[in-house]
Amino acid sequence: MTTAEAVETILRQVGQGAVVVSSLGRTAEEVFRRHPTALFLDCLGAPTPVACGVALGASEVHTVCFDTDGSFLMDLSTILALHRTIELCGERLTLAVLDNGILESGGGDASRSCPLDWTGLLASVGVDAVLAGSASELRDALGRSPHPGVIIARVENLEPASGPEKSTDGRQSRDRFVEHLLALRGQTAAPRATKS
Amino acid sequence: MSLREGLAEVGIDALFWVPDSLSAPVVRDAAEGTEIELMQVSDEATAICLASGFGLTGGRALVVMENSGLRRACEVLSRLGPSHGLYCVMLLSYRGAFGDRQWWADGHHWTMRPLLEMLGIRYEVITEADRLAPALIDAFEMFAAGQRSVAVVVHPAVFEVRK
Repeated sequence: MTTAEAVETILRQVGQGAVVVSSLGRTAEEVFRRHPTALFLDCLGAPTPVACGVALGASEVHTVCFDTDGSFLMDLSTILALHRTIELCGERLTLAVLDNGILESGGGDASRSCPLDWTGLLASVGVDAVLAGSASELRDALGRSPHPGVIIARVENLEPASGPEKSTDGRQSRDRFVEHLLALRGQTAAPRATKS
Repeated sequence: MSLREGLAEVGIDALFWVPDSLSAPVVRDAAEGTEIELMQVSDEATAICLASGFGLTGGRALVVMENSGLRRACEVLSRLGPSHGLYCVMLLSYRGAFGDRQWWADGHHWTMRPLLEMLGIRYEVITEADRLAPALIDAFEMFAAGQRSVAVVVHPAVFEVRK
């Protein structure tokens, strides 16, 4: 399964009416082509905890997060917060870690120097993870009941990644994300964490 | 006004918290019995990310951590704010404040202000307990302006008073 196939499968199945948070690199480019109002984060380690914060704050919508192996592994402390977030948000959060095994944007070296048991890692904090190696397995995982806490989608891309093509920077991405969230809420005014 | 009353006045929905010896008893008491989601996390960078995502939805989240947490969270603070315009409000316990007996705390003081300045975080150091709640209210007003992250740095004397 390629990154494009994984992104397509997930968005087709759970992207409708959802807010999306995305990691960087090839994943971001593929998400942008299909869901340009996603929040694109150019910060390894941030997508999963930021998405958890979004899911906790936006209780009326579904949150989909596309993280990547290199990014997720950069902040493993997140798995503790992830456990609590899943307790609170349940099926409103879909977290997919697209695992290509390499740091593609960082030159292509391996993303870890030892074998990694994803399901064991996440099970250690009570988070149920499912491995998906093909689009059909991914569809099965997305439709599973109870909903898996994390889906590890194994991807392999034979074509080299294209350069950055997204037409938005971080702040524009934030604004488009918020506008999309407002539209889903049927609101017009931007949310501001102010008192009045 | 106590911290508990301050949190209620601001309308805090969630506390993302890395416990430390100064703030822990006060924060636990302030959140107990309220509807505030008190989520303990194990790394300050994670707390910053959680609060930034939460804030993006219009919710009011407060990160509570020791001032040393700024150093742990430098990468995400450097990326999320300048590159993405994603901000948060922090309550920092001031380790290494003048008079702190702990030998390891001096570095916390030494690096705190330069980091706050370098990261473009607006902050106020409060030394009087009565200023805690008003400073939080002010911090959220500045946060609502959407220009940068904001921190309330709390002197140990304030926590002592509240114990």
